[in-house]
Amino acid sequence: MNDPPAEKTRTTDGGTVIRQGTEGDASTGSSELLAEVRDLRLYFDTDRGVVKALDGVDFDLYSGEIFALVGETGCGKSITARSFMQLVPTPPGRYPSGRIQMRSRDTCDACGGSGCSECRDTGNAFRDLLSVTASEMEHIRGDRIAMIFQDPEETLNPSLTLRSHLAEAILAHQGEEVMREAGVPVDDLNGISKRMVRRYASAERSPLLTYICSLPPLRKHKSAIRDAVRERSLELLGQTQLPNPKAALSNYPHEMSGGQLQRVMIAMALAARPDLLVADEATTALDVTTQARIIELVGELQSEYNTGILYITHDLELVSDIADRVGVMYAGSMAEIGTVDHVYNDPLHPYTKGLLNSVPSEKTVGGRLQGIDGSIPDLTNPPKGCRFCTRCPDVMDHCSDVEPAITDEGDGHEVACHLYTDQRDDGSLT
Amino acid sequence: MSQSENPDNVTDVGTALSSETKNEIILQCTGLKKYYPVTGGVFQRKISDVKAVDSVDFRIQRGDIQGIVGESGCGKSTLARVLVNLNEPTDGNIYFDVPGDIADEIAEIENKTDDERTSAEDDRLEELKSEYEINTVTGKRAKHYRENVQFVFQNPSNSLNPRKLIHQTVSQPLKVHTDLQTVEREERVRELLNQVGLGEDFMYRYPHQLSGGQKQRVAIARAIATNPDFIVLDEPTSALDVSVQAQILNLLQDLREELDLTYLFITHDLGVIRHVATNVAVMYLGKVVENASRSELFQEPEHPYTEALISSSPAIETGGDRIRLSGDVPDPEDRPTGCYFHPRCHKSESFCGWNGTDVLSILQVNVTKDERVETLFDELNDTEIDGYHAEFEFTNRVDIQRVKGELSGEEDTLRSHNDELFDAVTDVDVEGQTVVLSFRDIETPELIESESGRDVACHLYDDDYE
Ligand SMILES: Nc1ncnc2c1ncn2[C@@H]1O[C@H](COP(=O)(O)OP(=O)(O)OP(=O)(O)O)[C@@H](O)[C@H]1O
Ligand code: SF4
Ligand code: SF4
Ligand SMILES: [Mg+2]
Repeated sequence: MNDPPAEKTRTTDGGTVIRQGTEGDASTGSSELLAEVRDLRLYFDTDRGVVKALDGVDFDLYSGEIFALVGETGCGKSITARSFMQLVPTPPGRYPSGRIQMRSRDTCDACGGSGCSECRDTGNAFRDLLSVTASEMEHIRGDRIAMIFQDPEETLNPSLTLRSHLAEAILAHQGEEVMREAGVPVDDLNGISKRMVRRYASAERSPLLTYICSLPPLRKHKSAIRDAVRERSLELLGQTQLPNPKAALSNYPHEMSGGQLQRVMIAMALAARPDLLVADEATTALDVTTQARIIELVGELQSEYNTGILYITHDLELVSDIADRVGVMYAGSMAEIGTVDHVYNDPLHPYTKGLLNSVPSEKTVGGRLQGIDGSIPDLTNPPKGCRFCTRCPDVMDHCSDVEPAITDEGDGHEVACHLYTDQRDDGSLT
Repeated sequence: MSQSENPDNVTDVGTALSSETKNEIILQCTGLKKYYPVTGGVFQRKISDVKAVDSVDFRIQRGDIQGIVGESGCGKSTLARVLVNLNEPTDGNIYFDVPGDIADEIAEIENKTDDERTSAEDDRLEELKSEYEINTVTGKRAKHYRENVQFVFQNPSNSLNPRKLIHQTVSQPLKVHTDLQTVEREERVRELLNQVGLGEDFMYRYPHQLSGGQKQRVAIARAIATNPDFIVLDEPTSALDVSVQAQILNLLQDLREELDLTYLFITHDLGVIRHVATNVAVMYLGKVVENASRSELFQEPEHPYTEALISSSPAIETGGDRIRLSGDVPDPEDRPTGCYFHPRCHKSESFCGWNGTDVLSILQVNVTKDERVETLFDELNDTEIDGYHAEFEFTNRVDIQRVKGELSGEEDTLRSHNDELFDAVTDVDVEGQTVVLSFRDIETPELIESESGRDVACHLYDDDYE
């Protein structure tokens, strides 16, 4: 399960076209294991009973790849993604089991960050994102993981202008760089002053901070810092091709359209140069023409900073266009994982097949769609055994007794279905 | 299939006109407009109009599935609501269930200006209006219209009354439009629920006990209750998961065959529209820019916007590169001059309607990338743009003669970003520190028949423009 993804392949008809900036193989950086999710279970205690929203989810994520999570509404895509950042409220949620191990930056010198067995043993190489403290998470969220959601207004502070948002992102992630540019003798400053300088540039909301930063030794640099930050903000916004970036800086979030705000979110992510970008239905509310631009920017992040991208969407066609690998979720469990090529052209799981056969395409024009009968199960009382057994056209007797484990069918193409589990000689299941 | 051939439809809810021969044209409109006033200021006075539907010509043949596609805010839903009389049009007439030759006659008269029409033609049009125009007809014909046109909307949760049992919801139109007694109505509801694949178990449930797909089936059952001819479907599957969408699309196809329905199908999803529609109209900022058969449109889009839309849609397989449009859909309150699409069009020419706004946007977009542009932009004091006339006032710090050369495209500074735009400059003048530009006066393209016989609104297909 820990093999790096096979060579990045794409559907034959899709092409790499949306990511126009990257010629051919997009994996310019190395694809190291970035995070591994193991046996993730998330239950919600509700009036109606226990919602078993995630019940044993496993997958790996590599740096420099776009890994898409797809599946129908309520299958657990968003809560899987939000778990990376401890954004699921507990209670009502709780994790009966599971780990989300993310590679840390401070590994030993010997392995240079790839996570050798020694690092693993000392707990240096990988941190479990579910068990880090809230303040550690705060740090990780700002520094290593960036996120964009369907509704950017939800994430941006409505009372702050874009200037403040960007300044904050820039100073948090490229603070020293920007200060040096501004001629601040960074090395001579002590930690507290540095922090205060950072704060100043982003603090148009707080007169107190402005006051503190107006004290020596920072006062004489404040306008230079402000200029450098502004310069950098414009550069970032320019990169997203936002029209009139100068005017945009003094806008408040509500003064901009969804597509424009999503670009601002990406500009902030570009400033952060995160190891992981989590995008949850980031383009769902946007028009296709705007969506294309956002996707292109995500691709830039991926290729320039080798960022790993967890891309959540219900749009199967979009995934075939942009993703390297895909995980298909059904009712809180992972049904199938593989490269886009494997999963789309050679789907193994009956659910994946049904899903792909539901999509209108060139071949279905004017005809009928195959689809999937029935509807998704109630997660307070999910079917026993395989969760898909109530709708599966290939269902077998033992499907409703034994839950199928996820197994590798070669080349990292994994599937959780009894059609593929080996029967032991004595007839029992492995 | 007519009623008499369909004995399975036990309950006869046929209308007074169902025995008559059915006419070929189910719906036709010319120059249809829907404007919404924009108010502002202390007294909320009207300051301008949003032209949500801006002079649309349209004809739907019986038996077709007419698709409408376009990006959000292009006026798809408004058009649908006006077509089925949920909103009154600001201008234009809508004719329902018209014989083909009469539809042609109406179109011919309506396409003439008031001056061109003879008084005999005026009288004839009035006569035809009172017979077929949906806002004008009364009595039997009005009833005929109301019973024969139904709708299904995007969000099934909003369109069903949460306090009503499913059978109450579905029998509502039967109560209004038929004389059926309670028992007969119940029988019909049972039949309808079976027809949409729900079964009678659902009669005594409430909407909240149903999934999204099931709710949409209820909405469809309600829509077909009175045996209509024509159903408007506004994003009927957009809120549904793909496997449920497949079920609903199949159901709609089956019902169309069984019940001889005509659909107007609105969606932003090009994959869906290619799957279901027989004809597709593409809208941009309140205008239909192309209207063609499904195969023509998808195989060989003619309007540059159609081409870009299809190309940027992940739902459509493309062999090669995808066209990426620059910029966003403009504010409908403040639409570009000339062809509304010109600032984003990848095929634009000098005759597409450039004006001062386009010069300004070159300045804005390139201000962070090009130092010469930045200098210009920083020294710009004020702009005044009125149609094809524009004034750019600069500070005293600049040499206005040099700026004049840059702004009018004689110099390369701005021209290098857009040749066509500066080819459209017809005149340039300097008054004090102000540069005054004039541009070619271009009309907004209307639908014309292209060589391939479809309707396209683009000057590239009009011989008058070069
Ligand atoms: N705070 C909560 N309390 C109770 N149940 C919850 C909570 N948050 C999520 N759930 C449940 O967890 C399950 C998975 O939800 P999730 O939002 O991850 O779905 P999703 O795959 O993202 O769906 P969609 O495509 O609709 O966004 C659902 O059954 C949902 O109702
Ligand atoms: S395990 Fe059984 S029910 Fe589940 S998907 Fe496989 S065949 Fe179908
Ligand atoms: S008239 Fe045609 S070519 Fe010109 S901008 Fe409009 S769509 Fe493009
Ligand atoms: Mg979600």
